[in-house]
Amino acid sequence: MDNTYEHFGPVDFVTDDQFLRHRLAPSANSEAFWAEYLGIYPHKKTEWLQAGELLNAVLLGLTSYSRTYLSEEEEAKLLDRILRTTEAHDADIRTQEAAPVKPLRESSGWYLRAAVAAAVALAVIATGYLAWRPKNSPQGRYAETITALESTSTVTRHTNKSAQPELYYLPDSSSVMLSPKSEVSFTSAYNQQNRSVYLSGKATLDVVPNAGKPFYVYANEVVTKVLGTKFEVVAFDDGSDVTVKVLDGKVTVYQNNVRNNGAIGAPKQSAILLLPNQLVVFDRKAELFDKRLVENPVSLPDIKSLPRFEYEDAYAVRFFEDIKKAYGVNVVYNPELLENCQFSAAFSDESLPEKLNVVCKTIGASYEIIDAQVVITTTGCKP
Amino acid sequence: MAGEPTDETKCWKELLSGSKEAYAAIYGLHVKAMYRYGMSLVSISEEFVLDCIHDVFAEIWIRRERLTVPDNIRSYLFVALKNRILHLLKRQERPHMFVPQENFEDLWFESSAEDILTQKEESASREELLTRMVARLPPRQQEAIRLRFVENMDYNEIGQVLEVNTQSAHNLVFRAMEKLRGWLLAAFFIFQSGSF
Repeated sequence: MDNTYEHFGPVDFVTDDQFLRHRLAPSANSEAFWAEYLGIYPHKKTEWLQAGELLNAVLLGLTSYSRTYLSEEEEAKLLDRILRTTEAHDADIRTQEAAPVKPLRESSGWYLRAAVAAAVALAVIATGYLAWRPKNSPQGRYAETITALESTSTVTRHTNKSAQPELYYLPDSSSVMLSPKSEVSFTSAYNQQNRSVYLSGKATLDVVPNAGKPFYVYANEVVTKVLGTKFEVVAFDDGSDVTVKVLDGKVTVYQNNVRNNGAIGAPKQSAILLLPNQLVVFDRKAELFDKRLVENPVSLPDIKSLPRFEYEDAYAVRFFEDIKKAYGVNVVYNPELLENCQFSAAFSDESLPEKLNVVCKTIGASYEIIDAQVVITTTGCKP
Repeated sequence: MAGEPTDETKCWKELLSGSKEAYAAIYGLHVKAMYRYGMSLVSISEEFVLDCIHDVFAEIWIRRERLTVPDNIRSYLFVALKNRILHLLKRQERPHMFVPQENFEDLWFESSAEDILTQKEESASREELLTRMVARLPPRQQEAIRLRFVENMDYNEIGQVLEVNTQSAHNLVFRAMEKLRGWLLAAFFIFQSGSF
């Protein structure tokens, strides 16, 4: 051995490659080496043993890291996904080789992007038919929509022909209290990626929470996206105004017009967030929303108690509460879904959107600015 | 460092010449550590980390004809994963998940043993206390000790992952351990709660 470790203290030992190789992955060689060493330099034994204790201490302190474990099942699933990607790539290469012209492809993830582009194009085609028809009369809009949907998929329609309100259950057990002369319908795609229902008339909907499958109600020109649970929509085909009233939970409401030609994706324009006991009326002639509610007064933040925006394994909820305090902006989120969401970050001069981007990306959430409020969408984090 | 480097190198060469079995074998050898490491960088977003691991392996396959055999496969994969994570985070309108190293270190004020120990009543276990001590280390030191003590990488490999030279990698681990030892000794003297 060329190093006598003569001046080594515990910290020198515990950071020594040779020492660590022996302690972390011992071999017959390393056993022999250190046995011989301690035989020759018995006075280093104390430091050597202390180094071992230090190592145990740091390993204990790193338990949460070493315990982070990918299950066999997840491991197999991910491998499967990777292999499917490579097969898709290989198949594509073969096609390219057969084709007379080889397109030049630079970036590595191109096939993924191509796949995404294809999916987006399909969605636009599928919904474009609905969106691009001329907006003649507001009347008959529901019928038009249903006819269009029926041309591409199976539509289930339910009409309340009685004189009393009728309770109707959707496939996911969400319920619709349907008023007389009102109709609700949905396609076979209901409850796949999202839950879209089409409404004519008046209904109170009680939606089973499922963050992974947003719930949309299309009622004449108005689309209501459900974040919470219970709300009422009035949208008769007779040309009267459309109203949405929240009884419990939260919903966002926006106009379903030609500009928003993605009926499935949520259009960003003129979205309005409704909280319990708030009501919005859509004036069909003026095409305007009238939000009948008082904005919550925003108190200016007290400079002294401004949050520092430094987080270590902090709960996302704390960050959103800090945002509320510092910016006087309301942040709407479901605390139950964010229960297990933790993150680490330190901010200095970043803008509000920059901060939100970082934190949302880290916890796998997204956000929208609706009606001067930040609305967090998430499917939750694993504990 | 785990496994037999020569076998792994052979495996990697087979991968480069198009063997799906070798590809899956390399995946099996490293995916758990990559997951652990990835999760330590972006704490809680498991899906994001899995996406990034997917991208790293997909890219290896796609570019295999142009790749060489890395000196160390484990650190090569860690670097690739970290780059992928950074790339995707940066694309999100340049957020600052990782601010420049110099500035980042400044954000970590020096903790004294008392700072950590004032919460001692709440700390039920030794593990909790040590976890809190580790959490007080600057992030680069934390990353270095994870790689050194859990992944059992040598300083050369750690240097590759952290993009510093071998000596600096050693210094990061050394400073972290000095600090931990100091805190542990202080804990021992203040509370007489047993040797470290």
